[in-house]
Amino acid sequence: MNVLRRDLVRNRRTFLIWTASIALLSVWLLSMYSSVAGPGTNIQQYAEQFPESFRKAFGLDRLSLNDILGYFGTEVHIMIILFGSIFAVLLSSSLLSREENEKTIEFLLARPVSRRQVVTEKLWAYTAYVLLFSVVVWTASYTAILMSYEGEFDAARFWALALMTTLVLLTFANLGFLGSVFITRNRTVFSGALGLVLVAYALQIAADTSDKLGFLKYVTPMKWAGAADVLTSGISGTYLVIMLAVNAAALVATYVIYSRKDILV
Amino acid sequence: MYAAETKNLTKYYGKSRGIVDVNLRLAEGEIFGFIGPNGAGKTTTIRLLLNLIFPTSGSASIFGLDCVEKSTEIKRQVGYLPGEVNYYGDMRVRDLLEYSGRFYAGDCSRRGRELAAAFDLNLDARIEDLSLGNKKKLGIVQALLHSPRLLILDEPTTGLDPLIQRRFFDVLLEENKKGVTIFFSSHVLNEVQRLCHRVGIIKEGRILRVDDIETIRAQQFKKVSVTFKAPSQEFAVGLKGVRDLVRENGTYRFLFGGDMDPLVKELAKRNVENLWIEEPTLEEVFMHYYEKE
Repeated sequence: MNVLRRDLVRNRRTFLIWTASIALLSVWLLSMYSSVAGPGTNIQQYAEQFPESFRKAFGLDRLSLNDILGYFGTEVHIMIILFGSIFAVLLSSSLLSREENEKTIEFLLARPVSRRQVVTEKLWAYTAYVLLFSVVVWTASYTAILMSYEGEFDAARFWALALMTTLVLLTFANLGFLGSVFITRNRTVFSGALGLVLVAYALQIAADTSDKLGFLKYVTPMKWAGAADVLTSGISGTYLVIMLAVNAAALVATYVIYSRKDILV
Repeated sequence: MYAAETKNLTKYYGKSRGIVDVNLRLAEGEIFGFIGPNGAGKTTTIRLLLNLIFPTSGSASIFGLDCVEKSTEIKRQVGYLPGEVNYYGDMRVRDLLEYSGRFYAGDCSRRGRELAAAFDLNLDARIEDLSLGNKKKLGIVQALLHSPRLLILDEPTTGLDPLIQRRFFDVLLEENKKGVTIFFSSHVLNEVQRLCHRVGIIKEGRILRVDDIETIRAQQFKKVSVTFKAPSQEFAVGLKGVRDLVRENGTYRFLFGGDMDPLVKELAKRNVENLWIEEPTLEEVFMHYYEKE
Protein backbone atom coordinates (compact mmCIF):
# COMPACT_ATOMS: atom_id res chain seq x y z
CA MET A 1 0.00 0.00 0.00
CA ASN A 2 3.03 2.16 0.45
CA VAL A 3 3.58 2.93 -3.23
CA LEU A 4 -0.14 3.38 -3.86
CA ARG A 5 -0.43 5.86 -1.03
CA ARG A 6 2.59 7.76 -2.22
CA ASP A 7 1.29 8.00 -5.80
CA LEU A 8 -2.14 9.10 -4.63
CA VAL A 9 -0.61 11.87 -2.57
CA ARG A 10 1.80 12.87 -5.28
CA ASN A 11 -0.87 13.16 -7.97
CA ARG A 12 -3.73 14.51 -5.98
CA ARG A 13 -3.27 18.07 -7.21
CA THR A 14 -3.28 16.96 -10.86
CA PHE A 15 -6.38 14.90 -10.16
CA LEU A 16 -8.18 17.75 -8.42
CA ILE A 17 -7.40 20.28 -11.14
CA TRP A 18 -8.50 18.04 -13.99
CA THR A 19 -11.60 16.79 -12.24
CA ALA A 20 -12.73 20.19 -11.05
CA SER A 21 -12.13 21.80 -14.47
CA ILE A 22 -13.99 19.18 -16.45
CA ALA A 23 -16.85 18.93 -13.95
CA LEU A 24 -17.31 22.71 -13.89
CA LEU A 25 -17.11 22.97 -17.65
CA SER A 26 -19.79 20.27 -18.04
CA VAL A 27 -22.03 21.90 -15.51
CA TRP A 28 -21.61 25.28 -17.17
CA LEU A 29 -22.34 23.92 -20.66
CA LEU A 30 -25.39 22.06 -19.39
CA SER A 31 -26.70 25.07 -17.54
CA MET A 32 -26.82 26.93 -20.84
CA TYR A 33 -29.00 24.28 -22.46
CA SER A 34 -32.33 26.03 -22.14
CA SER A 35 -30.98 29.31 -23.47
CA VAL A 36 -28.93 28.09 -26.46
CA ALA A 37 -30.57 24.80 -27.43
CA GLY A 38 -33.70 22.97 -26.55
CA PRO A 39 -37.19 23.46 -27.92
CA GLY A 40 -37.99 27.06 -28.66
CA THR A 41 -34.56 27.79 -30.08
CA ASN A 42 -33.66 27.31 -33.70
CA ILE A 43 -30.31 25.68 -33.12
CA GLN A 44 -31.47 22.34 -34.52
CA GLN A 45 -32.42 23.89 -37.86
CA TYR A 46 -29.14 25.68 -37.83
CA ALA A 47 -27.28 22.41 -37.19
CA GLU A 48 -29.11 20.74 -40.03
CA GLN A 49 -27.55 23.15 -42.48
CA PHE A 50 -24.08 21.81 -41.84
CA PRO A 51 -22.61 19.41 -44.39
CA GLU A 52 -23.47 15.80 -43.80
CA SER A 53 -19.98 14.59 -42.97
CA PHE A 54 -19.64 17.36 -40.42
CA ARG A 55 -22.90 16.37 -38.81
CA LYS A 56 -21.84 12.74 -38.75
CA ALA A 57 -18.56 13.64 -37.12
CA PHE A 58 -20.39 15.25 -34.24
CA GLY A 59 -23.20 12.74 -34.06
CA LEU A 60 -25.71 15.35 -35.20
CA ASP A 61 -27.08 12.90 -37.74
CA ARG A 62 -28.45 10.75 -34.97
CA LEU A 63 -28.87 13.11 -32.04
CA SER A 64 -31.03 16.17 -31.85
CA LEU A 65 -30.01 19.36 -30.16
CA ASN A 66 -33.61 19.88 -29.18
CA ASP A 67 -33.26 17.07 -26.72
CA ILE A 68 -31.19 17.34 -23.53
CA LEU A 69 -29.34 14.05 -24.06
CA GLY A 70 -28.72 14.99 -27.67
CA TYR A 71 -27.27 18.27 -26.51
CA PHE A 72 -25.22 16.50 -23.86
CA GLY A 73 -24.02 13.87 -26.35
CA THR A 74 -22.92 16.31 -29.01
CA GLU A 75 -21.68 19.26 -26.98
CA VAL A 76 -20.61 18.02 -23.55
CA HIS A 77 -19.75 14.36 -23.80
CA ILE A 78 -17.07 14.85 -26.40
CA MET A 79 -15.28 17.15 -24.04
CA ILE A 80 -15.56 14.74 -21.14
CA ILE A 81 -14.25 11.80 -23.10
CA LEU A 82 -11.50 13.75 -24.86
CA PHE A 83 -10.10 15.58 -21.84
CA GLY A 84 -10.87 12.66 -19.58
CA SER A 85 -8.83 10.35 -21.79
CA ILE A 86 -5.96 12.80 -21.91
CA PHE A 87 -6.05 13.03 -18.13
CA ALA A 88 -6.19 9.26 -17.79
CA VAL A 89 -3.28 8.63 -20.16
CA LEU A 90 -1.11 11.41 -18.79
CA LEU A 91 -1.65 10.10 -15.28
CA SER A 92 -1.15 6.41 -15.96
CA SER A 93 1.84 6.89 -18.22
CA SER A 94 3.61 9.11 -15.72
CA LEU A 95 3.58 6.72 -12.79
CA LEU A 96 6.26 4.27 -13.89
CA SER A 97 8.08 6.49 -16.34
CA ARG A 98 8.57 9.29 -13.86
CA GLU A 99 10.34 6.95 -11.45
CA GLU A 100 12.75 6.03 -14.20
CA ASN A 101 13.06 9.48 -15.62
CA GLU A 102 13.88 10.97 -12.24
CA LYS A 103 15.94 7.89 -11.41
CA THR A 104 14.03 7.26 -8.21
CA ILE A 105 13.27 3.76 -9.43
CA GLU A 106 16.68 2.70 -8.19
CA PHE A 107 15.58 3.70 -4.71
CA LEU A 108 12.16 2.11 -5.01
CA LEU A 109 13.33 -1.25 -6.35
CA ALA A 110 15.98 -1.51 -3.66
CA ARG A 111 13.13 -1.68 -1.12
CA PRO A 112 11.64 -5.08 -0.36
CA VAL A 113 8.87 -4.69 -2.90
CA SER A 114 8.52 -6.82 -6.01
CA ARG A 115 8.10 -5.28 -9.41
CA ARG A 116 4.75 -6.96 -9.69
CA GLN A 117 3.71 -5.24 -6.49
CA VAL A 118 4.92 -1.87 -7.79
CA VAL A 119 2.93 -2.32 -11.00
CA THR A 120 -0.16 -3.39 -9.06
CA GLU A 121 -0.06 -0.43 -6.70
CA LYS A 122 0.49 2.05 -9.51
CA LEU A 123 -2.31 0.40 -11.44
CA TRP A 124 -4.61 0.97 -8.48
CA ALA A 125 -3.46 4.54 -8.09
CA TYR A 126 -4.52 5.62 -11.57
CA THR A 127 -7.58 3.37 -11.63
CA ALA A 128 -8.77 4.98 -8.40
CA TYR A 129 -8.27 8.48 -9.76
CA VAL A 130 -9.86 7.73 -13.12
CA LEU A 131 -12.88 6.20 -11.38
CA LEU A 132 -13.15 9.14 -9.01
CA PHE A 133 -12.86 11.52 -11.94
CA SER A 134 -15.75 9.75 -13.64
CA VAL A 135 -17.91 9.62 -10.54
CA VAL A 136 -17.47 13.35 -9.92
CA VAL A 137 -17.87 14.48 -13.53
CA TRP A 138 -20.89 12.30 -14.29
CA THR A 139 -22.64 13.00 -11.03
CA ALA A 140 -22.09 16.71 -11.57
CA SER A 141 -23.44 16.45 -15.12
CA TYR A 142 -26.45 14.49 -13.98
CA THR A 143 -27.21 17.03 -11.28
CA ALA A 144 -26.82 19.86 -13.78
CA ILE A 145 -29.27 18.20 -16.14
CA LEU A 146 -31.81 17.74 -13.37
CA MET A 147 -31.47 21.37 -12.42
CA SER A 148 -31.57 22.98 -15.84
CA TYR A 149 -33.99 20.66 -17.61
CA GLU A 150 -37.55 20.15 -16.57
CA GLY A 151 -38.64 17.53 -19.09
CA GLU A 152 -38.27 13.78 -19.19
CA PHE A 153 -35.12 12.06 -20.30
CA ASP A 154 -33.81 8.53 -20.42
CA ALA A 155 -31.55 8.36 -17.36
CA ALA A 156 -30.63 4.74 -18.10
CA ARG A 157 -29.11 5.80 -21.43
CA PHE A 158 -27.24 8.58 -19.69
CA TRP A 159 -25.70 6.16 -17.20
CA ALA A 160 -24.99 3.65 -19.93
CA LEU A 161 -22.94 6.34 -21.63
CA ALA A 162 -21.27 7.13 -18.32
CA LEU A 163 -20.31 3.50 -17.88
CA MET A 164 -18.94 3.08 -21.39
CA THR A 165 -17.04 6.36 -21.18
CA THR A 166 -15.48 5.35 -17.88
CA LEU A 167 -14.41 2.02 -19.36
CA VAL A 168 -12.89 3.82 -22.32
CA LEU A 169 -10.99 6.13 -19.98
CA LEU A 170 -9.65 3.09 -18.15
CA THR A 171 -8.71 1.50 -21.46
CA PHE A 172 -6.74 4.58 -22.43
CA ALA A 173 -5.13 4.59 -19.01
CA ASN A 174 -4.10 0.95 -19.34
CA LEU A 175 -2.68 1.55 -22.81
CA GLY A 176 -0.74 4.55 -21.56
CA PHE A 177 0.54 2.49 -18.67
CA LEU A 178 1.80 -0.17 -21.03
CA GLY A 179 3.40 2.45 -23.26
CA SER A 180 5.27 3.95 -20.33
CA VAL A 181 7.09 0.66 -19.82
CA PHE A 182 8.85 1.33 -23.11
CA ILE A 183 8.98 5.09 -23.26
CA THR A 184 10.37 6.74 -20.18
CA ARG A 185 11.62 10.13 -21.26
CA ASN A 186 9.32 12.83 -19.89
CA ARG A 187 8.72 14.81 -23.01
CA THR A 188 8.27 11.74 -25.18
CA VAL A 189 5.80 10.30 -22.70
CA PHE A 190 3.80 13.52 -22.79
CA SER A 191 3.57 13.73 -26.57
CA GLY A 192 2.93 10.00 -26.81
CA ALA A 193 0.03 10.28 -24.40
CA LEU A 194 -1.49 13.22 -26.21
CA GLY A 195 -0.89 11.57 -29.56
CA LEU A 196 -2.62 8.36 -28.52
CA VAL A 197 -5.83 10.15 -27.56
CA LEU A 198 -5.91 12.52 -30.53
CA VAL A 199 -5.23 9.76 -33.03
CA ALA A 200 -8.01 7.70 -31.44
CA TYR A 201 -10.33 10.68 -31.81
CA ALA A 202 -9.34 11.19 -35.46
CA LEU A 203 -10.01 7.51 -36.12
CA GLN A 204 -13.43 7.81 -34.55
CA ILE A 205 -14.31 10.69 -36.85
CA ALA A 206 -13.03 8.67 -39.78
CA ALA A 207 -15.15 5.68 -38.73
CA ASP A 208 -18.22 7.86 -38.34
CA THR A 209 -17.94 9.80 -41.58
CA SER A 210 -16.61 7.31 -44.08
CA ASP A 211 -18.29 4.05 -44.97
CA LYS A 212 -15.04 2.62 -46.25
CA LEU A 213 -13.31 3.30 -42.96
CA GLY A 214 -16.19 1.91 -40.93
CA PHE A 215 -14.02 -0.98 -39.72
CA LEU A 216 -12.07 1.53 -37.65
CA LYS A 217 -14.83 1.42 -35.09
CA TYR A 218 -13.24 -1.76 -33.80
CA VAL A 219 -9.86 -0.09 -33.52
CA THR A 220 -10.43 3.17 -31.71
CA PRO A 221 -11.57 3.10 -28.07
CA MET A 222 -13.13 6.53 -28.57
CA LYS A 223 -15.82 4.98 -30.74
CA TRP A 224 -16.74 2.39 -28.11
CA ALA A 225 -18.23 5.15 -26.02
CA GLY A 226 -19.49 7.28 -28.93
CA ALA A 227 -22.37 9.34 -27.60
CA ALA A 228 -24.55 8.89 -30.67
CA ASP A 229 -24.07 5.12 -30.55
CA VAL A 230 -24.73 4.59 -26.86
CA LEU A 231 -27.56 7.13 -26.57
CA THR A 232 -29.42 5.70 -29.56
CA SER A 233 -28.71 1.99 -29.31
CA GLY A 234 -27.39 1.32 -25.82
CA ILE A 235 -24.30 -0.62 -24.78
CA SER A 236 -22.77 -2.80 -27.45
CA GLY A 237 -21.70 -6.26 -26.38
CA THR A 238 -19.15 -6.39 -29.18
CA TYR A 239 -17.40 -3.29 -27.94
CA LEU A 240 -17.43 -4.61 -24.39
CA VAL A 241 -15.75 -7.83 -25.49
CA ILE A 242 -13.12 -5.98 -27.54
CA MET A 243 -12.49 -3.62 -24.66
CA LEU A 244 -12.10 -6.49 -22.22
CA ALA A 245 -9.62 -8.19 -24.54
CA VAL A 246 -7.60 -5.02 -25.13
CA ASN A 247 -7.38 -4.25 -21.44
CA ALA A 248 -6.48 -7.79 -20.46
CA ALA A 249 -3.77 -7.90 -23.12
CA ALA A 250 -2.38 -4.50 -22.11
CA LEU A 251 -2.22 -5.39 -18.44
CA VAL A 252 -0.70 -8.82 -18.98
CA ALA A 253 1.90 -7.29 -21.29
CA THR A 254 2.67 -4.58 -18.74
CA TYR A 255 3.25 -7.10 -15.95
CA VAL A 256 5.28 -9.49 -18.07
CA ILE A 257 7.48 -6.88 -19.69
CA TYR A 258 8.04 -4.80 -16.61
CA SER A 259 8.96 -7.85 -14.54
CA ARG A 260 11.73 -8.73 -16.97
CA LYS A 261 12.90 -5.31 -17.92
CA ASP A 262 16.44 -4.09 -17.30
CA ILE A 263 16.18 -0.89 -15.29
CA LEU A 264 18.98 1.31 -16.59
CA VAL A 265 18.97 4.77 -15.12
CA MET B 1 26.76 -19.63 3.14
CA TYR B 2 28.19 -16.50 1.61
CA ALA B 3 26.86 -13.01 2.16
CA ALA B 4 27.06 -12.64 -1.58
CA GLU B 5 28.23 -14.97 -4.30
CA THR B 6 28.36 -14.70 -8.06
CA LYS B 7 28.95 -17.62 -10.40
CA ASN B 8 30.19 -16.79 -13.88
CA LEU B 9 27.97 -13.76 -13.75
CA THR B 10 27.80 -12.21 -17.21
CA LYS B 11 25.90 -9.26 -18.56
CA TYR B 12 25.83 -7.90 -22.06
CA TYR B 13 23.82 -4.85 -23.01
CA GLY B 14 22.96 -5.91 -26.52
CA LYS B 15 26.41 -6.39 -27.95
CA SER B 16 28.26 -4.16 -25.59
CA ARG B 17 30.03 -5.74 -22.69
CA GLY B 18 28.88 -5.22 -19.15
CA ILE B 19 30.69 -7.90 -17.16
CA VAL B 20 32.01 -11.31 -18.15
CA ASP B 21 32.31 -14.40 -15.95
CA VAL B 22 32.51 -12.57 -12.67
CA ASN B 23 33.07 -14.89 -9.73
CA LEU B 24 33.02 -13.32 -6.32
CA ARG B 25 32.47 -14.67 -2.84
CA LEU B 26 31.86 -12.43 0.11
CA ALA B 27 32.12 -14.03 3.51
CA GLU B 28 29.69 -12.85 6.12
CA GLY B 29 31.11 -10.04 8.18
CA GLU B 30 33.80 -8.91 5.81
CA ILE B 31 34.38 -5.56 4.19
CA PHE B 32 35.00 -6.09 0.53
CA GLY B 33 36.31 -3.37 -1.72
CA PHE B 34 35.43 -3.58 -5.38
CA ILE B 35 37.70 -1.43 -7.41
CA GLY B 36 38.18 -0.63 -11.02
CA PRO B 37 38.24 2.33 -13.37
CA ASN B 38 35.04 3.88 -14.69
CA GLY B 39 33.20 1.60 -17.08
CA ALA B 40 34.86 -1.54 -15.73
CA GLY B 41 31.56 -3.08 -14.64
CA LYS B 42 31.31 -2.21 -10.95
CA THR B 43 27.85 -0.70 -11.18
CA THR B 44 26.69 -3.45 -13.52
CA THR B 45 27.70 -6.05 -10.93
CA ILE B 46 25.87 -4.17 -8.20
CA ARG B 47 22.75 -3.76 -10.31
CA LEU B 48 22.75 -7.47 -11.01
CA LEU B 49 22.99 -8.20 -7.29
CA LEU B 50 19.97 -5.96 -6.74
CA ASN B 51 18.14 -7.40 -9.75
CA LEU B 52 17.69 -3.99 -11.31
CA ILE B 53 19.00 -5.75 -14.41
CA PHE B 54 18.97 -9.39 -15.39
CA PRO B 55 22.05 -11.52 -16.04
CA THR B 56 22.79 -12.67 -19.58
CA SER B 57 24.22 -15.84 -18.05
CA GLY B 58 25.54 -17.04 -14.75
CA SER B 59 23.93 -16.36 -11.42
CA ALA B 60 24.22 -14.38 -8.23
CA SER B 61 22.96 -14.99 -4.74
CA ILE B 62 22.82 -13.07 -1.49
CA PHE B 63 22.67 -14.96 1.81
CA GLY B 64 22.06 -18.06 -0.26
CA LEU B 65 19.00 -16.58 -1.98
CA ASP B 66 18.96 -16.27 -5.74
CA CYS B 67 19.11 -12.62 -6.80
CA VAL B 68 16.50 -12.99 -9.51
CA GLU B 69 14.07 -15.38 -7.81
CA LYS B 70 14.22 -14.08 -4.25
CA SER B 71 14.91 -10.44 -4.87
CA THR B 72 12.24 -9.12 -2.53
CA GLU B 73 13.37 -11.29 0.34
CA ILE B 74 16.96 -10.27 -0.25
CA LYS B 75 16.11 -6.60 -0.10
CA ARG B 76 14.80 -6.88 3.43
CA GLN B 77 18.38 -7.53 4.45
CA VAL B 78 20.24 -5.25 2.08
CA GLY B 79 20.97 -1.55 2.28
CA TYR B 80 21.95 0.09 -0.99
CA LEU B 81 23.60 3.39 -1.71
CA PRO B 82 23.55 4.16 -5.43
CA GLY B 83 26.45 5.92 -7.08
CA GLU B 84 24.23 8.77 -8.08
CA VAL B 85 21.66 9.58 -5.43
CA ASN B 86 18.25 10.58 -6.79
CA TYR B 87 15.19 11.08 -4.66
CA TYR B 88 11.73 12.51 -5.00
CA GLY B 89 12.19 16.25 -5.28
CA ASP B 90 8.84 17.08 -3.70
CA MET B 91 9.72 15.35 -0.43
CA ARG B 92 11.51 16.56 2.62
CA VAL B 93 14.32 14.53 4.17
CA ARG B 94 11.96 13.34 6.89
CA ASP B 95 9.34 12.24 4.32
CA LEU B 96 11.84 10.16 2.42
CA LEU B 97 13.08 8.40 5.53
CA GLU B 98 9.49 7.73 6.61
CA TYR B 99 8.59 6.48 3.17
CA SER B 100 11.61 4.22 3.07
CA GLY B 101 11.01 2.99 6.61
CA ARG B 102 7.46 1.92 5.84
CA PHE B 103 8.73 -0.74 3.46
CA TYR B 104 10.38 -2.63 6.29
CA ALA B 105 9.01 -4.40 9.31
CA GLY B 106 9.66 -2.62 12.57
CA ASP B 107 9.99 1.04 13.40
CA CYS B 108 12.97 2.80 11.85
CA SER B 109 12.14 6.34 12.92
CA ARG B 110 14.42 6.47 15.92
CA ARG B 111 17.37 5.10 14.04
CA GLY B 112 16.59 7.56 11.27
CA ARG B 113 16.82 10.47 13.70
CA GLU B 114 20.05 9.16 15.19
CA LEU B 115 21.69 8.65 11.84
CA ALA B 116 20.55 12.02 10.57
CA ALA B 117 22.04 13.62 13.64
CA ALA B 118 25.31 11.70 13.20
CA PHE B 119 25.61 12.98 9.65
CA ASP B 120 24.43 16.44 10.44
CA LEU B 121 21.45 16.17 8.16
CA ASN B 122 18.52 18.54 8.49
CA LEU B 123 15.31 16.50 8.54
CA ASP B 124 13.19 19.42 7.41
CA ALA B 125 15.23 20.28 4.34
CA ARG B 126 13.58 19.88 0.96
CA ILE B 127 15.31 17.22 -1.07
CA GLU B 128 15.44 19.37 -4.17
CA ASP B 129 17.36 22.00 -2.19
CA LEU B 130 20.02 19.58 -0.94
CA SER B 131 23.58 19.91 -2.18
CA LEU B 132 25.26 16.93 -3.77
CA GLY B 133 27.09 16.12 -0.55
CA ASN B 134 23.95 16.36 1.54
CA LYS B 135 22.07 14.16 -0.89
CA LYS B 136 24.81 11.61 -0.49
CA LYS B 137 24.47 11.82 3.26
CA LEU B 138 20.76 11.21 2.96
CA GLY B 139 21.60 8.25 0.75
CA ILE B 140 23.84 6.85 3.44
CA VAL B 141 21.24 7.32 6.16
CA GLN B 142 18.63 5.72 3.95
CA ALA B 143 20.89 2.72 3.26
CA LEU B 144 21.56 2.16 6.96
CA LEU B 145 18.04 2.93 8.14
CA HIS B 146 16.59 -0.56 8.39
CA SER B 147 19.73 -2.11 9.92
CA PRO B 148 20.59 -4.31 6.94
CA ARG B 149 22.87 -7.35 7.16
CA LEU B 150 24.57 -6.47 3.91
CA LEU B 151 25.47 -3.00 2.73
CA ILE B 152 26.04 -2.43 -0.96
CA LEU B 153 27.63 0.93 -1.56
CA ASP B 154 28.39 2.21 -5.03
CA GLU B 155 31.16 4.82 -4.94
CA PRO B 156 30.04 5.94 -1.49
CA THR B 157 32.54 8.68 -0.83
CA THR B 158 32.35 10.83 -3.93
CA GLY B 159 30.95 14.21 -2.97
CA LEU B 160 31.64 13.83 0.76
CA ASP B 161 34.01 16.20 2.49
CA PRO B 162 36.86 14.55 4.42
CA LEU B 163 35.26 15.12 7.79
CA ILE B 164 32.00 13.45 6.86
CA GLN B 165 33.91 10.77 5.00
CA ARG B 166 35.69 9.88 8.23
CA ARG B 167 32.46 9.81 10.17
CA PHE B 168 31.01 7.63 7.46
CA PHE B 169 33.90 5.17 7.72
CA ASP B 170 33.52 5.12 11.50
CA VAL B 171 29.86 4.25 11.14
CA LEU B 172 30.73 1.54 8.64
CA LEU B 173 33.30 0.04 10.98
CA GLU B 174 30.79 0.13 13.79
CA GLU B 175 28.21 -1.65 11.65
CA ASN B 176 30.84 -4.15 10.60
CA LYS B 177 31.60 -4.91 14.24
CA LYS B 178 27.95 -5.82 14.64
CA GLY B 179 28.45 -8.37 11.88
CA VAL B 180 27.26 -6.39 8.89
CA THR B 181 28.91 -7.37 5.61
CA ILE B 182 29.95 -4.44 3.47
CA PHE B 183 30.49 -4.47 -0.27
CA PHE B 184 31.66 -1.24 -1.68
CA SER B 185 32.92 -0.07 -5.00
CA SER B 186 35.41 2.64 -5.65
CA HIS B 187 37.89 3.81 -8.19
CA VAL B 188 40.22 5.08 -5.50
CA LEU B 189 42.52 2.39 -4.20
CA ASN B 190 43.54 4.48 -1.23
CA GLU B 191 40.02 4.77 0.03
CA VAL B 192 39.51 1.05 -0.18
CA GLN B 193 42.76 0.30 1.60
CA ARG B 194 41.74 2.12 4.73
CA LEU B 195 38.64 0.09 5.26
CA CYS B 196 38.60 -3.21 3.47
CA HIS B 197 39.65 -6.66 4.45
CA ARG B 198 39.73 -7.87 0.89
CA VAL B 199 39.80 -6.24 -2.48
CA GLY B 200 38.53 -7.41 -5.84
CA ILE B 201 39.82 -5.69 -8.92
CA ILE B 202 37.72 -5.48 -12.04
CA LYS B 203 38.83 -4.26 -15.41
CA GLU B 204 36.96 -4.28 -18.69
CA GLY B 205 34.26 -6.42 -17.19
CA ARG B 206 36.49 -9.15 -15.84
CA ILE B 207 37.80 -9.78 -12.36
CA LEU B 208 41.58 -9.49 -12.48
CA ARG B 209 42.17 -10.74 -9.00
CA VAL B 210 40.88 -10.85 -5.49
CA ASP B 211 43.39 -10.29 -2.72
CA ASP B 212 43.73 -9.65 0.95
CA ILE B 213 44.42 -6.02 1.50
CA GLU B 214 47.72 -6.97 3.18
CA THR B 215 48.91 -8.70 0.03
CA ILE B 216 48.09 -5.71 -2.09
CA ARG B 217 49.69 -3.34 0.31
CA ALA B 218 52.88 -5.42 0.45
CA GLN B 219 53.12 -5.56 -3.29
CA GLN B 220 52.26 -2.02 -3.93
CA PHE B 221 54.46 0.26 -5.93
CA LYS B 222 55.45 3.78 -5.16
CA LYS B 223 55.86 6.37 -7.83
CA VAL B 224 59.25 8.02 -7.43
CA SER B 225 60.60 11.11 -9.16
CA VAL B 226 64.00 12.49 -8.30
CA THR B 227 66.15 15.38 -9.54
CA PHE B 228 69.84 15.67 -8.75
CA LYS B 229 71.88 18.80 -8.50
CA ALA B 230 74.50 17.37 -10.83
CA PRO B 231 72.36 16.55 -13.87
CA SER B 232 74.73 14.06 -15.44
CA GLN B 233 74.60 11.62 -12.56
CA GLU B 234 73.78 8.01 -13.30
CA PHE B 235 71.11 6.53 -11.13
CA ALA B 236 69.23 3.38 -10.25
CA VAL B 237 71.21 1.08 -12.45
CA GLY B 238 70.79 -2.35 -11.00
CA LEU B 239 68.76 -1.25 -8.00
CA LYS B 240 66.26 -3.96 -7.10
CA GLY B 241 62.59 -3.09 -7.43
CA VAL B 242 62.97 -0.31 -9.98
CA ARG B 243 60.67 -0.46 -12.97
CA ASP B 244 59.93 1.64 -16.01
CA LEU B 245 62.78 4.02 -15.42
CA VAL B 246 62.69 7.10 -17.63
CA ARG B 247 64.81 10.20 -17.64
CA GLU B 248 63.26 13.47 -18.65
CA ASN B 249 64.94 16.89 -18.45
CA GLY B 250 67.22 15.69 -15.70
CA THR B 251 64.41 14.10 -13.68
CA TYR B 252 64.31 10.37 -13.15
CA ARG B 253 60.90 8.78 -12.88
CA PHE B 254 60.23 5.18 -11.99
CA LEU B 255 57.98 2.82 -10.12
CA PHE B 256 59.54 1.33 -7.06
CA GLY B 257 58.30 -1.92 -5.55
CA GLY B 258 61.22 -3.13 -3.49
CA ASP B 259 62.70 -2.50 -0.09
CA MET B 260 62.69 1.20 0.67
CA ASP B 261 65.90 1.22 2.66
CA PRO B 262 68.44 0.52 -0.14
CA LEU B 263 66.73 3.16 -2.26
CA VAL B 264 67.07 5.80 0.41
CA LYS B 265 70.71 4.86 0.96
CA GLU B 266 71.39 4.98 -2.75
CA LEU B 267 69.78 8.41 -2.97
CA ALA B 268 71.73 9.62 0.03
CA LYS B 269 74.99 9.06 -1.84
CA ARG B 270 74.01 11.77 -4.29
CA ASN B 271 73.14 15.40 -4.08
CA VAL B 272 69.34 15.41 -4.29
CA GLU B 273 67.61 18.57 -5.39
CA ASN B 274 64.04 17.35 -5.32
CA LEU B 275 62.31 14.12 -4.45
CA TRP B 276 58.72 12.96 -4.79
CA ILE B 277 57.41 9.62 -3.55
CA GLU B 278 53.75 9.21 -4.39
CA GLU B 279 51.03 6.60 -4.38
CA PRO B 280 50.41 5.46 -7.90
CA THR B 281 46.94 6.00 -9.28
CA LEU B 282 44.82 2.98 -9.78
CA GLU B 283 45.42 3.21 -13.51
CA GLU B 284 49.13 2.97 -12.90
CA VAL B 285 48.69 0.00 -10.63
CA PHE B 286 46.81 -1.70 -13.43
CA MET B 287 49.28 -0.72 -16.09
CA HIS B 288 52.44 -1.69 -14.33
CA TYR B 289 51.48 -4.40 -12.00
CA TYR B 290 48.46 -6.42 -12.96
CA GLU B 291 48.96 -6.46 -16.67
CA LYS B 292 52.43 -7.82 -16.41
CA GLU B 293 51.41 -10.92 -14.57
